[in-house]
This record gives sequence, structure tokens and C-alpha cells, in this order.
Amino acid sequence: MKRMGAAAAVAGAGAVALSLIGWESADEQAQEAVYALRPGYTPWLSLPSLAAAVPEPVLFGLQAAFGAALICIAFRRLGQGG
Amino acid sequence: MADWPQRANVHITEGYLPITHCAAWAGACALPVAWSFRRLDLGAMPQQRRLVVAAAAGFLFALTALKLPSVAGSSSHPTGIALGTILLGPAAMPVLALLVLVFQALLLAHGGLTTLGANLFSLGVIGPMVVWLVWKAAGAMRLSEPTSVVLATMAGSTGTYVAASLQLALAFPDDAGGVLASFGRFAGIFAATQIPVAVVEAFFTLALLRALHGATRRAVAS
Repeated sequence: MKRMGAAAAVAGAGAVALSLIGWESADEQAQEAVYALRPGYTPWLSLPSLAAAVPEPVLFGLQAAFGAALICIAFRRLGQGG
Repeated sequence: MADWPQRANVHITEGYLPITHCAAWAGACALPVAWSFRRLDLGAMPQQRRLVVAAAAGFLFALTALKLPSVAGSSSHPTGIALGTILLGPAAMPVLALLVLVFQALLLAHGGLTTLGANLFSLGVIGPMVVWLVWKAAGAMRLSEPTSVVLATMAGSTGTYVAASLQLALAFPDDAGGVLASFGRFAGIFAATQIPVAVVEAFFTLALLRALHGATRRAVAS
């Protein structure tokens, strides 16, 4: 359990740290591509999401932590012979 | 010719594809997803294989959350598809990719529900198919397992981005050169960012695959 928590924390913190580097995100880059090809283009749909309320790096961190926890659970159970 | 930006992206953002394209890509995914659901019958699956599915899903969640810095001040996400494809086959991946993409679309505003079909087709169908083909070809050529894993992962990661480039090019053809020119520019732009990320992803995949083999062997030996 401790290992799982540690792995999740490391993965989450790593994802947050990488998101904070500040290099242009892939989403922004794709949007730039579209605007360059179709100046004035407006997306025809935009849905609200948690990202509006919670910083994106935190959400990516939570996703990475969830993934790492899942991996740890699988390893632990596999180590016990399934 | 339009003034192009420096990079492209595997997750096409909400509302960015014409509605006809959204419908077409969703339709193209319908059969692979149905097939994947049928093949991933967790209830009928041995416990050990279920745990491998969990590890592959965890790897997909963890890796797609990492925004890895690449060259020239750009960053990109690994795809995380190779581990599951190698261990479970390409049929498992559409469902696992669907879970990740829905999670990201709803919670992170990354990708989108309207572009879910397009993103799923590149990440959950094309990428795993490329991984599988290269993995099998490497096996037929009797390459070592580490080499095969690295090659398959890099090919799958790159293939996913090539598919995304084609989807964007089809939606936004260049005024002068059409879809082909648009595709060439998108593919050329993302390659500089994605190929270094694919190399890093390949070594992540290899490390986890080895750890999984070790855990399984220890369980069998105990």
C-alpha cells in the first residue's frame, strides 16, 4: 500500500512538474495550425470541464497518479500469483 | 500557402473538426470498438490476464498524462499504447484508449467528445495496428525482444501522430496544395517533436514490460 502511494505520488508529481515546464502544449499547437490555415476559424462547440476550475497540471498529475496506482495494484496482485 | 505553426497534436480539440468528419471517424471506430469490447470480456478472462489489462490501462493513463519536453521548446504526450498491444493484442486497445480519451475529454478538456472518434481512431486503432505489425515483423526477423519492443513502440507512437496529421489535413486542406500538402506539412512539423518523445516512450514501455515479466515469473516460481 505504501509503495502504491509512493508510486502514485511520484507519477503525479512528475506529471505536474513536466506540465509546468511551460513549453507550448500540443493542444495549443494544433489550434495554431488550424488558425493558420483558416484565419478566423471558430470551433463550433466548446464544452465546460473541470479544467476551467482546476489547473491543468493538477489534473494531469491526478491522471498520472491514477495510472501509476493501477499499475501498482496489478503488480502486487501478479506478485501474489494473481 | 498558409503560414504554418511549428507543431501538431495527437488529440484533436473539441469543435475543431467539421461535424461530418466527426461522424465519419466515429463511424470508422464503431466496428473496432465493438470488436474490442467483445474480446475484452473481463468476466470470462483468467485473473492473471485481467491484471495485465489493468497494468496496460494504468500505463496508458500514466503515459498520456505526461507532457514530455522535446526539441525546439515543444512538448508532446507519449501514447502508451505499445505495452497493451504487445501483451494483449491490438483488439484490446480501442476500449482502453476509449476510457482514457473520455476521461481526458470530460475532465481535462483535452481532446473532446465531438473529436472522440477521430482521436480514438488514431490512438486506439491505427497506433496499435502499427505496433502489432512492427512487433510481428520484428519477431519474424528474429530481432531481440528489447529491439522489437523499442521499434514497435516508436512506430506505433509515430503512426498515431501520422494518423492525426491525416485527420487534420483532411479537415483543413491547404488552399494551394490540397490535402497532400497539408498532410506533408503537419507530418513534417510534428515529427521533430514526436520522434524524441517516441524514443523515451519506447524505453518506458520496455522497462514496464520487463518488470511485468519479472513479477509474473516470481509468482509462478513461488
